[in-house]
Amino acid sequence: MVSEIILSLISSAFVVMIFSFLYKDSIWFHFVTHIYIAGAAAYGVAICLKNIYYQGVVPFTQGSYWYLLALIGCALMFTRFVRGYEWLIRLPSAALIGVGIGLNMAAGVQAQIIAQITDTMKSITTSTIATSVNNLIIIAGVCSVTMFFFFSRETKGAMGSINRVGRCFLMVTLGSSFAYALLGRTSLLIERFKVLVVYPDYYILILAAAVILYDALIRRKRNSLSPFFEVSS
Amino acid sequence: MTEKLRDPRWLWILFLICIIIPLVRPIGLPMGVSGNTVKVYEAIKSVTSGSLVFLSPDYALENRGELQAMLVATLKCLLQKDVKIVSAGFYGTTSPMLMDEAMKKVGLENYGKKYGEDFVNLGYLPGGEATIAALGVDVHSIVKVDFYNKPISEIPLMDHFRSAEDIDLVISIAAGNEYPDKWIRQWQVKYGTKITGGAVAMIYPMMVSYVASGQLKGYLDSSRGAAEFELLTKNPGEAIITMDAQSLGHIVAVVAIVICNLSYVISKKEGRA
Amino acid sequence: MNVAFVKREVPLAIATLLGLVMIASFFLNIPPLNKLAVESQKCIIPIAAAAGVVGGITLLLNQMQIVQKRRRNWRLSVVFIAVFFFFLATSLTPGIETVHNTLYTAIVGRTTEAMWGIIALFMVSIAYRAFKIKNLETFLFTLSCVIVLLGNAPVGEVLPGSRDATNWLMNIPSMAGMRAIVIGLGLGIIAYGIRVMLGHERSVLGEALKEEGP
Repeated sequence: MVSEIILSLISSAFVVMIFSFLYKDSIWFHFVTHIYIAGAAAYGVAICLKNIYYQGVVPFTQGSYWYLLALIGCALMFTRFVRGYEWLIRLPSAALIGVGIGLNMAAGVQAQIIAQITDTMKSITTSTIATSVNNLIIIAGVCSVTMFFFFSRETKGAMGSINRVGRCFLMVTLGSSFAYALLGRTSLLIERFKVLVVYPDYYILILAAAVILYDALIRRKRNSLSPFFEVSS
Repeated sequence: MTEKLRDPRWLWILFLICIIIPLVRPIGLPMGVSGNTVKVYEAIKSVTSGSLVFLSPDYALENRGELQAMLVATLKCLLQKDVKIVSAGFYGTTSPMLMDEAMKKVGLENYGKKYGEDFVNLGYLPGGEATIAALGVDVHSIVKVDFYNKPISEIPLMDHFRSAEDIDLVISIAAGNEYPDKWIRQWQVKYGTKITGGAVAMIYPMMVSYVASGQLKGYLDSSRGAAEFELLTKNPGEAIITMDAQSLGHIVAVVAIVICNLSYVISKKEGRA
Repeated sequence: MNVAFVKREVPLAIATLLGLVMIASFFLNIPPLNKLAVESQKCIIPIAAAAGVVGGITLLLNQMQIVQKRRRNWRLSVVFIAVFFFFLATSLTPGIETVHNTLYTAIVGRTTEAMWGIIALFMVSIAYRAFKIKNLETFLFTLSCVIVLLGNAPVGEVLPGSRDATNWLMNIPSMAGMRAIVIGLGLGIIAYGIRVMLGHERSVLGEALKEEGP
């Protein structure tokens, strides 16, 4: 359909404008970032307004009078925009923080501390040498990295050696995390190009390449930017 | 010459060429399946007939490229079984939109399923961990309408979902480590609910420790995990197509690291000489 | 009552009280306490939604201020305001959800993905410039990065032992380091929570507190 083709071309043009940042910071990049931030913020506001209605107003009108506190809290949130009364926003924010902290602390002990420590403390005398060595490495790694984050003592002597071992384990962890982060971002890039290399979007890619080539030639010849890439003030 | 090579734009052009070529002309490189992917598959397979599964797309539009294929693959796998699926998003306002897109792509009718009886999309529920905790106690007091603004009293599936105890498996496809953590803290610790899912590549190393301790029943890592899952479930989709490009991209990154170190060694020797 | 006292102590008291209610309801099975905890969790949902609305409106007001004062790139702020109201209208109007979703995915979704995707190129250039092996730590960092990159690329299946090496690296040494970080996060959450409840953590009250002084 024609409307689908036009929408696809506009979408690809915006994507290519984002990629133009790799060549030069220009007005096109800022134009598209303003558009997508505006769209995301607007949709977020709309969904949140719907949620205030369905999760706050509707239950209150149906007889759950607890929700009056929630609606008062929502109203206090908007005092952010009333000069002299901005401090009232601290009351609902404090409620949010209190509930969040309580939920995190209560269950976090079991989920993040006890369960993890229990699984770390495995036997180092198992039937196979490989398993024993692996378990020993896990125990050594967890203990040394935990000690690495203990900043209240000077890292001298034995503490310094443990610190060094912890740093080595941390470098292995961070190296693998970097590799995974690259994997993730590459997936997003591939996803964008999957659309750009098919009809009719490859015309946008070819046009963008031509514009960049033209600009590069202009810069070489006249030592100035072409009209496409001048950043406006 | 070395000054020109230090300009990373040459590397960017090479990287982009290596990504674009396999998309235009697929190579078909071999791919294995990791243990964690098999664990996710086993967790889904172990769900008994008639069970209720909670499928939570805990990601937003910006992570679509990494996780949408994973959502589609898990949805297809679940629809092939005789289970009922409840979905809700907690991470971003666009997560139910992504679930809707996945549902329309897969097509419930292709599996003999019907919206409202076998699948329901409850939309976005703000509040994060507090909402997940409250949902575990009493669903109907929190959720009033679904994503399409239909009252849940008119949705037959919702008669079977009142609290966390009705859910046999939670599949959380997450964009950040907060979401698997929240499900583990609020549902796995309190109700012993089985939790599995997948996440963006960046947080996968953190999830490995939860898989090792048994708190997560396997975990899929980003598009690679999605491709492996598609291979395992014999449902080829979007993720497998991108694996060739992913391969070559990684090779370019490794070559960049090797060149960086070679030039460092050479410049050190020249410095000494 | 001193207004400064109300501004500082009442929010801290609310946070502490609700935190204690949540913790107590987790460990104790007292029906009125459990009901209070559950109702508090339910009431937080619309408050969290209101926070989202306040954030969006703040952004809009900032852009309006830029237009009003004709600051740098003010014309882009005009574009921002127009697009904001357009998408707000399409999101709230019933009956056009399909049109809205299509437009939103095409315009906002694709560009957001592209924005995150170019980070991959910057990461590759970081690898090209900064991954110099100077000592044991940088050697381990680079080695683990290379092993994981090759192991996760399907082409790594061709290299003998690369997948096994990646699996071993992820499940043993890398997992050990990450586990320590997870334990540290858990301890940090508890420490932060206790600090908030005891009133030692003033940052939760926001920027305005700094103007008021101690």
